Amino acid sequence: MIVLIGGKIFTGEEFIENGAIFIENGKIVKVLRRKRIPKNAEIIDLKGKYILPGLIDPHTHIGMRDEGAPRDYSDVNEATDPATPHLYAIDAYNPQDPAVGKALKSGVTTFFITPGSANPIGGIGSVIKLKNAPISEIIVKKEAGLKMALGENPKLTYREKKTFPSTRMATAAVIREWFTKAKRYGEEKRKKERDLKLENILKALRKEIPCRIHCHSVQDIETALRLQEEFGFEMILEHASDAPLVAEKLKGKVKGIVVGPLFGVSSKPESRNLSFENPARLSTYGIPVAITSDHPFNALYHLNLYAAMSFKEGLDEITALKAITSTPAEFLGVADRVGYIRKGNDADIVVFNSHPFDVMSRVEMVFVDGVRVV
Amino acid sequence: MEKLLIIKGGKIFTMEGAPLEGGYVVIKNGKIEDVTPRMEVPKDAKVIDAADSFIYPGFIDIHTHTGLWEEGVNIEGSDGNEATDPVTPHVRAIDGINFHDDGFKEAISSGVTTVNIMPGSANVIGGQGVATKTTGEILLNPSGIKMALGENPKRVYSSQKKLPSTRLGNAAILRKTLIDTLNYIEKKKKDKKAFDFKLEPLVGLFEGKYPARIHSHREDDILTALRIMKEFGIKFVIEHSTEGHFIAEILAKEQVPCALGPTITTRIKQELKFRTPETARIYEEKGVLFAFTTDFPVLPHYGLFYSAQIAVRHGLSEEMALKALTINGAKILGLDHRIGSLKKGKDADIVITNKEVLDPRFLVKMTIISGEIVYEHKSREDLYI
Repeated sequence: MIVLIGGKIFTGEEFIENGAIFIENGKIVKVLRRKRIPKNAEIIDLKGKYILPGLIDPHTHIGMRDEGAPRDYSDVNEATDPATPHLYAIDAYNPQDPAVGKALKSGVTTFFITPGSANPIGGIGSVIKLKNAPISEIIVKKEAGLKMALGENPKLTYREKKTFPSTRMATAAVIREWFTKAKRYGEEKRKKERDLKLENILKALRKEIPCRIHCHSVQDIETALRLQEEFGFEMILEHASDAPLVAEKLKGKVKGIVVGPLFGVSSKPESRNLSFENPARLSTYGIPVAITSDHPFNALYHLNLYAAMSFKEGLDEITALKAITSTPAEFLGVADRVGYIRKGNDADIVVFNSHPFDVMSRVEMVFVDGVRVV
Repeated sequence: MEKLLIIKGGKIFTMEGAPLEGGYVVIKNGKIEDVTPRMEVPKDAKVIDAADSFIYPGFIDIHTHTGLWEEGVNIEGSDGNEATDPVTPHVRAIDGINFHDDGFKEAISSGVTTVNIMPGSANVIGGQGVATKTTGEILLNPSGIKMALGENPKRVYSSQKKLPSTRLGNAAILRKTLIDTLNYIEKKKKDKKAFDFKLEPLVGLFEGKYPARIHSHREDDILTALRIMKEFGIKFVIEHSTEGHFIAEILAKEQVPCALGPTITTRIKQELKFRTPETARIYEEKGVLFAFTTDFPVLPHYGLFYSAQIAVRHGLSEEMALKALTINGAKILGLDHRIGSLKKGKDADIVITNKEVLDPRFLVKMTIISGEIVYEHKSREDLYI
């Protein structure tokens, strides 16, 4: 048994000072609000340190487009067909991507990998744990969301090829057509033959997985709302630069919003309202917010700093910490495993030497499944 | 109970008979409660004193692309033409409209309170339009199926070396798609599982739920539209109708409504050769139901009023000019039970100006949509959104 004692523990919900975390067989077996030093245990004294659940990035392409590799090495976008719900990001995950090790050293222990935004319906994303083990053992959840995309990316991808969809109208039509087909497929009593594309959309229609919808501008957010109303799926919006402008309409409709990448300048018209103020503005409406690097667009290994910048621009401290721990765990449907320091969860823990929002803070230790890896 | 909002006129153009000199427009719960020459004003009512002003129903533009071609943005904000397939009835304008676009703000400050936004004219069958208040309140969706004849579709697809590259091709595609739809309707009667995502929106044309709205400039294109729509028994509106003055008697006899405009552009293509400011006057003389349009972003929204002013200079009556900015558009959209005139029970969409709108010096002082004051002119700077 390992016991971490002292310091400030952020549980995923609140801070506990001078508590103790008991780790056994890779799991957190007990969290105490006071120090109690047991016998027969390896004690690690973390006085003065900040202890957090392993950080989680809810939207990355890590391992799908290796750092330092040429552009054509990318496996992010299967931009040959606007509807590819049958693709799985996991099939392109390269654990040898140099970013993986860097991310781990920065305290990120779990992330979502997803197909890109070239296709209106892109494919299935998975939740993966950063751990030196074969891929089969690091998948936390194979099917954690159906990636979809609205706005500039799909329409400009296919406009270049002079094929449908080359406008926002047509992007919505692609989604509507395939979701209608899937709905009818789901209603068939005796299916003549299996259809993998429709099967995967059906999972979203039956709310087994959420739709993860890439969008930036107002009309795309409103289109997502309209599609949701028509088809009744659960949805999380990705990026959603204009979301604060229509936040009132989003309340209660979205499971949450994944904000980011925020570090940098808007590279296109639809993301002109991208700002570190967005998490705070959305949060005032009670909309759950998670923060992402969208790696490799921003580096995954500065995730704590993106939360720090959001904190600086008005997001409250606890919500900002949750935005890189428990909130993404909830979005990904893996909160029973990661994102919290609580009894029963995996012992994925990161120790910072000072507040994680301090630009000078360093990661001193990382535990994954109870094993110290950093 | 909500408090009353009362506008104290002023000259009130109700568009329901002669204007009222002085009088009151009473607004409650977003609707017009009353239009009356005299009343006891309740103490708790909010009163807008418009004694030396002019009061109109909100102006209507029945053919625009507001927010669908975003202002100041290039292809990233251009979503009106799905020019990859000449038949796209399954796309919807609403999915591409940015309701926060500057175009809407300028429409509101110009007094335009309702627009009918449609896909463009690249495709023979372009998609579904939507009629909306300029605040984003949807009135009708779909408001019709946009279609196009003449130069635009043939230019787009001849450059792609595809059918249609001639007017013959345009008409053939239109006819074939409508026949396909009839076949589909028959098939659905026999087979409940039959479903065609693309043709499904065209079924509504045969059911009379909404009209075809056919872009056509040249006289022969207008008549092609008439011929094909009569053949299939479909209600329709002619969009632009640039050469409509040549066949105004036919349009009147066949009761074909027209969206007229943009009338104040240059003749940038062959089929605009006979564009004339006289068309509106001729429509009035022959009895064609028409409304002005800017085809925004071809003209800015305030171009609607210049179009009317120039038509008046060329002999259109002032009364008809105002109708063609208000009630006629409402009728053509099938929304005259809600908008287009100041009448008890209709939506409180009201514009207050400092001079009559047919005077080019007029300025919008206030715009009210569904009972809410959405624009108030305070200084010159307000015009620059």
